[in-house]
Amino acid sequence: MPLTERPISVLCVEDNPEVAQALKMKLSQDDLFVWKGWIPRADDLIETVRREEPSIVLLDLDMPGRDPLDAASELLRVRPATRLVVFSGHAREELIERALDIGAWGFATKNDGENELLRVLASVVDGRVEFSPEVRALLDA
Amino acid sequence: MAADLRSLLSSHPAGVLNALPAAIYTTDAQGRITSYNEAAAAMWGRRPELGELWCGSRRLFHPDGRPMPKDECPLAIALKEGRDVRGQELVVERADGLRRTALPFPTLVRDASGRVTGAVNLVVDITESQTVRETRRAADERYRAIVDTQSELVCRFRMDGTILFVNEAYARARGMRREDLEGRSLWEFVTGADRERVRADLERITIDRPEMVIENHCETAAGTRLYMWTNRALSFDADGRPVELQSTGVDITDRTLAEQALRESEQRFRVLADNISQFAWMADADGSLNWYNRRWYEYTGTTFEQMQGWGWRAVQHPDHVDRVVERWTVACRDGQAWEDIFPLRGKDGQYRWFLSRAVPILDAEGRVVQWFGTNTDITEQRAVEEELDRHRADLEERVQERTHELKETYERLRMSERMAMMGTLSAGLGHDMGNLLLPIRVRLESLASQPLPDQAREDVEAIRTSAEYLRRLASGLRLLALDPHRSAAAETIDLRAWWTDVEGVLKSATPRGVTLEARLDESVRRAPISAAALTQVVFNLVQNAGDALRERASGRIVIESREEAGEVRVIVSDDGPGMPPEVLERCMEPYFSTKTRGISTGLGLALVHGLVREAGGRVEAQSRPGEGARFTLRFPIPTRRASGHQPLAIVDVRDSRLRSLTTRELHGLDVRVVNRAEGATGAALFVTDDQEKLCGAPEGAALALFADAPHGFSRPVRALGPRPEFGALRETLRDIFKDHAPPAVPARGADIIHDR
Repeated sequence: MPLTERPISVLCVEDNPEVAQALKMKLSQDDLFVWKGWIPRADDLIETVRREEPSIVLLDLDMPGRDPLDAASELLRVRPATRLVVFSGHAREELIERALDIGAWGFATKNDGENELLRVLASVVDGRVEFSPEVRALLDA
Repeated sequence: MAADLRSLLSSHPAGVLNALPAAIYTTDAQGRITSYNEAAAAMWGRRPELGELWCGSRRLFHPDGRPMPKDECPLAIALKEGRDVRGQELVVERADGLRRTALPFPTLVRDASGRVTGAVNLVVDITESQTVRETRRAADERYRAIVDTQSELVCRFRMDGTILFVNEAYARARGMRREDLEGRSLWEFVTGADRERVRADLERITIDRPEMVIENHCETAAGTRLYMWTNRALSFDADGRPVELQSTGVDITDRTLAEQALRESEQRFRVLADNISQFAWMADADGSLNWYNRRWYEYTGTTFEQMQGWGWRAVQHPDHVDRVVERWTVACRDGQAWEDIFPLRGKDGQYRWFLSRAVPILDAEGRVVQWFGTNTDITEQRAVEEELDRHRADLEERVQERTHELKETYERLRMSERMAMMGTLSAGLGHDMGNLLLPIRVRLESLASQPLPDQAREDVEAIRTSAEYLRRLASGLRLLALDPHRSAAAETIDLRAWWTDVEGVLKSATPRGVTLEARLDESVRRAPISAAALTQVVFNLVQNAGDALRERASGRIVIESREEAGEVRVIVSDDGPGMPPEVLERCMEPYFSTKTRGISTGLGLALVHGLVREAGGRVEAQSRPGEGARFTLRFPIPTRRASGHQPLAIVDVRDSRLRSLTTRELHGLDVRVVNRAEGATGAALFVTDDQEKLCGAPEGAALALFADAPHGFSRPVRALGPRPEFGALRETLRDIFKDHAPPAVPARGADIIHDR
């Protein structure tokens, strides 16, 4: 089901401030999206989502603190409407599967680049599960 | 005409009396001579007056020379004691002093009433026979003296067995006194079986064979056996009749007993020797065998006649006999104990091994008199020893092999660890790179979108290029670090896209002075191999090419892709020194390497080979010395299903995420997807999250339900639950469409290795 609200609010969970800033810059270039902010740890995810109510949560996996997928799993139970997109340096089959199992809509690797990420995000907004090339390659194997 | 003696005596008494050669005289009861004949007067050498007492001789003596008073002469004793006297010799001295030895026979005369009226004395002159006797006795004594001093046992006896003479030695040997033997019969002492034997022996002595030498034995008084070496000589009379037998014997009892004891001892030894399990034998001092125990014959199946002396050589093994004979000869010559090991042939013709030993038996002077030897069967022992040796050698070999293996394994492990580390590093780098590059790219993009002076713009572009290069490098590294085996079946990659990712990393593996170039044919887009696998394959090939060109520090490595003869071909070639045929032949063998161990595991090309085959392709290696090397990866062009028919699936799922995910997966399986059952003929799959919609599912379609299993539904349904796990979903879909999946490309044929 496509998301209908405009713009699409995005919350980023990312521990690298440079990356977070860059993402903010990138997303801000596209009118489709509005940047809701970023948190460096998943510990505050649910609370923040409650507060900010983003349509999409952009989730990095390699972070200190609470296991991000764990937190995300809880989040989606509580707020299943939230569309989760994993944006990570790692792409391993088990991570992808785990992400999908908790209900992620998309999985993109940082290596595939920010443009790919935007593409994935756009698909997710459109109501389609989408993956960046690296992830697709892994899954199609 | 025979005159009656009495009438003669009564008519001519004096005439008769005087005719008699023997001296006769008479006396009255008181011993007074009443008459005498001429012989008596001759004997006396006088004519005594009648009435002389007792005797007319001048004097009388005992035979031993003592004087004999006349009134003690035999006649006097006869008259005084009233009995006839016989056998008493005396010496009569005549008037002229001549002495004669005589034997009187005084006989009493009695009247009718028995009263002694006188005596008649017949005196026989035995002087002659006395002399003879004397001579004989002297001779006898001389004889005795000689014989008695002999140690030999001498016995003389008459043919009737009367023992005439024994010497001291004989008597002593018999344990009896001489006087108890002489005069007695031999047969008193020689009894039983001995008697039979001696009688038989004696009968064999004849005048033609008057002597006999035999081994004799008899029983002594003490009951022991006396052994003699006896010479029996018979003496004969003028008529040839045997008279006496002289037996001269040497006492050989000690020797005989010793011999017997020795024989017994030998006998006991032989019994012992025959019953031990070893072979035993004896040889003369010169080494010539004179006896073997039973075991020898049992084993060899030979006879003594065959084996005696040096006959044992016949059962020696031809390869050993000369040595054995030589060593035995030397041992006998030197009198040294001997030992040797050699095979002996048994009666079955088979050879067994024996440990053989001999010791010399010495006499009192230390000279060898006999050899005593044994042979002990050590075949089993040898077999065990040999097996032990074999095992030891085998073990040593295995230990060496193992050590070698271990070393190799260790090396490989180290390499693997290093590579794993590298892999981790690469992965880590790749990840970190992602994080680092993203901000750089985004910022550069932002910069580029701003008004910039030309130079600044140029700079930005340059940085962006570098950043892009870095990104690809990171991608390539990550590909390299991925486990290529995990992404195995049915993946195809876009070669150009792949190249952009890996170019950087491959070039970084190329040594200085060497160029890396790609010529990817436009027409070839996809190769049926995973990105990770192809990356590692090409990386290895480029590395190898680079190593070949490193020394020269110049050269070219070219990567091409083209489609030929129904195959997608990826070619990595170089213009290096190439490989000689023997190297080319083995280049893809695991662990085979021409580089030193430290540098290379020898696994690179084996990996290439393995990965390509796993992907369903073949590796072709070509090279000639001086003409570089060329590796061609040949993959069959990935074909759709032979039927050309694309299966259809109906995904009637309300949940858009799940619908999207399912659709995506089905697309990946090359399945066409529609979202409504209406008009979807021949669908292979109907999947829904609404149980009630199952009824509307077309015939022949597999059914899948994103809900709990329905109750009482007639057709089989795969129920995946309302929130199916991605893995389970994928499995189910793949399973349903496994027959429709693009066929896994099988490996066809062997790899080709040839020179150009």
